Amino acid sequence: MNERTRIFLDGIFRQNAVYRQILGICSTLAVTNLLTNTLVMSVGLTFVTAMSSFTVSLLRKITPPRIRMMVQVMIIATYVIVVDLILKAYLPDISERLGPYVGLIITNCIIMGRAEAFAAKYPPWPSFLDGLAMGLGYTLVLMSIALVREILGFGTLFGFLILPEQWTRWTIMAMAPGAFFMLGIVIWIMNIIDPPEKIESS
Amino acid sequence: MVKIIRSVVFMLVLSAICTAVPAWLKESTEERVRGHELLKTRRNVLTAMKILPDGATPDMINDIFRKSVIVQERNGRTFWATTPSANTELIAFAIGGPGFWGPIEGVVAVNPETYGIVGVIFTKHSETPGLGGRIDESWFKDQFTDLLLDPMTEEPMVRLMAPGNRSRPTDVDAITGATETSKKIQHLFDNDVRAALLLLKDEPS
Repeated sequence: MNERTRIFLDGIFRQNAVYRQILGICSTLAVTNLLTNTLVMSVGLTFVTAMSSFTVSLLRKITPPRIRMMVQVMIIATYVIVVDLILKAYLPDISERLGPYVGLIITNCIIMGRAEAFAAKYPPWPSFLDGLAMGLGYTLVLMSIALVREILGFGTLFGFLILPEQWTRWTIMAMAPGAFFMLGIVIWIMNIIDPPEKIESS
Repeated sequence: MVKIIRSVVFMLVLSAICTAVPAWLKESTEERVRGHELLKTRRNVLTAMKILPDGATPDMINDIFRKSVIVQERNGRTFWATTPSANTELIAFAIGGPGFWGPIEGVVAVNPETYGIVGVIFTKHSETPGLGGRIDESWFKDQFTDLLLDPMTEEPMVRLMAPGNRSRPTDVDAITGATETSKKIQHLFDNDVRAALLLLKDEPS
């Protein structure tokens, strides 16, 4: 497996931001009750993570080290505002449903974490791939959680009714506690399928 | 010293770029965003008035609104009234008040002569999905249709009662399991809807 493929697959699975690093939990709990909202949020986050990692990496050699974190925040904020403006102009309904969570992508630990841990040290293309993979890993987990929550909580799939009207909705699945349960289950399952590497104690 | 100047210059250049890009994007999408907001308001007003056909396209919404509705200002509050050429005389106004988790906003349309409700819609809220969030459902909103409101009454204008406990013509069924949201809706009618109706009463068109 070459280096780029490894970076890409690690970002999605072995170093998954949500179930392995427990990052981005706020939005994981907040937006995953409907698949459409989750998909848009995930695409937005993937775009911001990939592009900000790319830009931070591109500027890494000329960025004064003492102000590098301010620079990273500014780059991330710019991309988030771009996503927010595009959503408001072209997907106004979804923009309204996501409310403040698009703006809060700025504070998502995944983006800043990757900018500081990876993009500030590696060339632009691997950094872009790393950001993209982290975003896709986040998307994978959020969509899995949203799939179960929307079906059980609303009886719908992407807004289309798939369960009979008589179906008793699991209200808890539409609320934040449902996301907590689902996230716990996802972490549990993924730890069985792909156990995290044991840290050797000295 | 050189390092400090370098940092300042770098930050200034980056700030200029990071400000210019969103500013340009905002400028170029502003008209589109304004159009969406206007269309949304028009759709809400026509929906509350129940004069919007199903599946109406944005062009149809704008067309029907221009032909059937005029905007009025009364004591700083906006009202939308049907034009004299329209079949029925209706008046709509935006409503808003606190909900359980956040503000609840909506539009109410009434007959200006009788204060009978023609339609109620809730356009924005943060109520619990599956519980208070059910204020969006047709069965809940349809209960308000044809209720005759009396803004002068000292009693609650509309009461949200536990299902099966309605005793007055202006009682409607509350949402089971969403007591707080039901109270907030009753409050909304008692405060904001009542204020709008009193304005209509004081300043008839």
